[in-house]
Amino acid sequence: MPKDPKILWNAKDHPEIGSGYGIMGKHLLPRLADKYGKKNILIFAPVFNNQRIEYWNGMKVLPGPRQDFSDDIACRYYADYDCTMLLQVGDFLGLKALPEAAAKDEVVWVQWAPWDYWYLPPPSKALMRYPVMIVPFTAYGEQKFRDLGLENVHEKVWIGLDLDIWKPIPRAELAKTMKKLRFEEDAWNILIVQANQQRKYLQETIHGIGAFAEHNPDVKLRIFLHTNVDGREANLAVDISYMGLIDTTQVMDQFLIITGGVSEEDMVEMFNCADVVMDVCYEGFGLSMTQAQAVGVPVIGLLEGPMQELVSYGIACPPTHVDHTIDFGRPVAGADSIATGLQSLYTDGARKVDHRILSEDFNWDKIAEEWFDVIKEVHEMREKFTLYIPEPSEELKKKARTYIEVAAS
Amino acid sequence: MKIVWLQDLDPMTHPGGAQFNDREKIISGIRRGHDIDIMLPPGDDNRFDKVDATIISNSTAFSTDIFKAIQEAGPYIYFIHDYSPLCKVRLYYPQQEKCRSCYRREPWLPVLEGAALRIWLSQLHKDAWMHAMPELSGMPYMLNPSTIDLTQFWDMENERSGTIAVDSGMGFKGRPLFFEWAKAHPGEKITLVGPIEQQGQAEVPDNINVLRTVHYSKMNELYNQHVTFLHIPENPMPFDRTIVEALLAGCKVVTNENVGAMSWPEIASGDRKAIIALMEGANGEFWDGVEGVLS
Repeated sequence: MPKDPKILWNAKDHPEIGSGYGIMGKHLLPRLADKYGKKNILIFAPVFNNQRIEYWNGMKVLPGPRQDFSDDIACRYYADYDCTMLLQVGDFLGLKALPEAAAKDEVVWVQWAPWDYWYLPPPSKALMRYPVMIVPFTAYGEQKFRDLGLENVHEKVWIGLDLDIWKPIPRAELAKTMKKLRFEEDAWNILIVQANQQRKYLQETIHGIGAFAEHNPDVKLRIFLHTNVDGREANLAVDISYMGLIDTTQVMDQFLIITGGVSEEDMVEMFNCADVVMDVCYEGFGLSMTQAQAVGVPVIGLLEGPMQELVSYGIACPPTHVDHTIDFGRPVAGADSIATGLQSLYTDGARKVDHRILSEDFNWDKIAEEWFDVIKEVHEMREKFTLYIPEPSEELKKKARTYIEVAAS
Repeated sequence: MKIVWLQDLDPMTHPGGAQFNDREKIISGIRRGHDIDIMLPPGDDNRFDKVDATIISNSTAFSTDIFKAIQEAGPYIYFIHDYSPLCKVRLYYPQQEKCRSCYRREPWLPVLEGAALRIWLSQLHKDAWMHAMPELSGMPYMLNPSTIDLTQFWDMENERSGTIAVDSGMGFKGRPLFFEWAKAHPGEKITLVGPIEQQGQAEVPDNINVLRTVHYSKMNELYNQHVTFLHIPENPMPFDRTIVEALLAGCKVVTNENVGAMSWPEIASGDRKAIIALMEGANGEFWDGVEGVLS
């Protein structure tokens, strides 16, 4: 492979942002920099970016502060900085400039991609042929991409966890956090960490908890909602009130949600305080599920999607219908399905598996090694199939002009 | 000995220098009492542990599974004709600095190292390989020249004029330099045997007359019509049989330091008797070397 691969990382969020995409950059990029050199890793993460070049852990962060994919800007940076590979992270159906550039072989495009579509219109399937490689977030996604007949699908590479911090902490050491969350030792403490977006179906989750609470009036419930309560699509306060959960629900300080003032270490403590984590929607990955597993907390998730591959300790709720009002559709677990899942976990428990077994495969060092293999494979593939024939060395050219005459005798 | 001989193309029927060379070696081996089984692609990975040895000749069309089976089965000889598997552009090996860290080293060096014997066509050919795989330099090897049909080429003592070139219109045989030489010698009439690879808009110099294809049996006659044989490649040629053909046909040869045949003193001398002796001894020496490492 080329001695100096030069990789342009393009995720929406800066590595310092606590979102899934931010966390992916935060942990993978330094490992890529160690392997290939800091000057060979460029970061273009347009959301909330400043209009100047900055440096993060020695890597150049390129400006371009629009709040969309900004793939046209990414393509320009790719060319200007003479990159050898663009690693685009996330959903790629909104991209326009990048597929065009890839079709003209101007960009070597690798997509680390979630699968969270229920159906795809044909133009979207056509778009997926343009990356030289799609690296799915999950084995579930990998199968779905392959089922489309795509030949550029790599084996999945999971999103990792920082296992130095994501591990069980004895509850006795977390009194302050318990108090902050309004969790109690004798309560069943439910944690929900999700953005308030339609595709997360938080309203259904709240209604499901409400149904469980109604059926189990003697169960002391405590709920912590780490989300923006009044989102673009729904004001969850209405649902919380309607389901009679006002007194049992605490929400994260909304200022911290907006400004990103919650560190990963804070999140680890929050997860450790919970008795159950809920993530009941059709996820492209579901980072809160693996985070819960790492600290030994069971998960209530959706049966359809990657839950079965990522979660060994929890209950899966079957979907009850498909929401066709959302782009590409989503299977949804209605309130009854969620309430049944909660009931099942509360009453019967779930088989507990040693968290260390669950977590090893999410080690960021292991994930990084998988990415090194992908990068090597992509570069070798390009080298292998390029039609470019290199020039002979200068030494050979010099020898070529040293003529020798031999007469037959 | 029972031997499997790996070749991309059937050497007993296909034309081409490598195929002819292999054919001569195989026939010579059979005459020495060896039982030689030619294996063509895709190959059969169950064969190798049923024979005494494998000889890997031109083998670009075989899978890595076949190579793995060969390595696991037993002794094998690597009979190298060009720059495969060292270089993706096997005929255009650029011998650049970056070749020393080519990705192909990692999968293929162990295969080359594991051979009981490595056979190159000339010292230049071997030196070019050592540029990217110096690890092979201390290992058992043999240099064996590519053989030609000695009955086909001789001096007909004709009237001669002009210059002849063979395949110099191909990039890997030095087309740019060939055109440059032709332009620098505008009064010289040049016959080019073989096609011209048209890259870009380079014009063919007016003093080049192109004969796209000439039957091999007619080549001696054509050599004998010309004074000079011109061959000036920019990439390192493992051997280049046309040099030997032209000398035996009585041509003066104008070439350069990128031609493997010229690293054989017998050929560089132009002495046809020495050249013939070298060619006649090549097959026997090949099998002496192979039998020597396998016994």
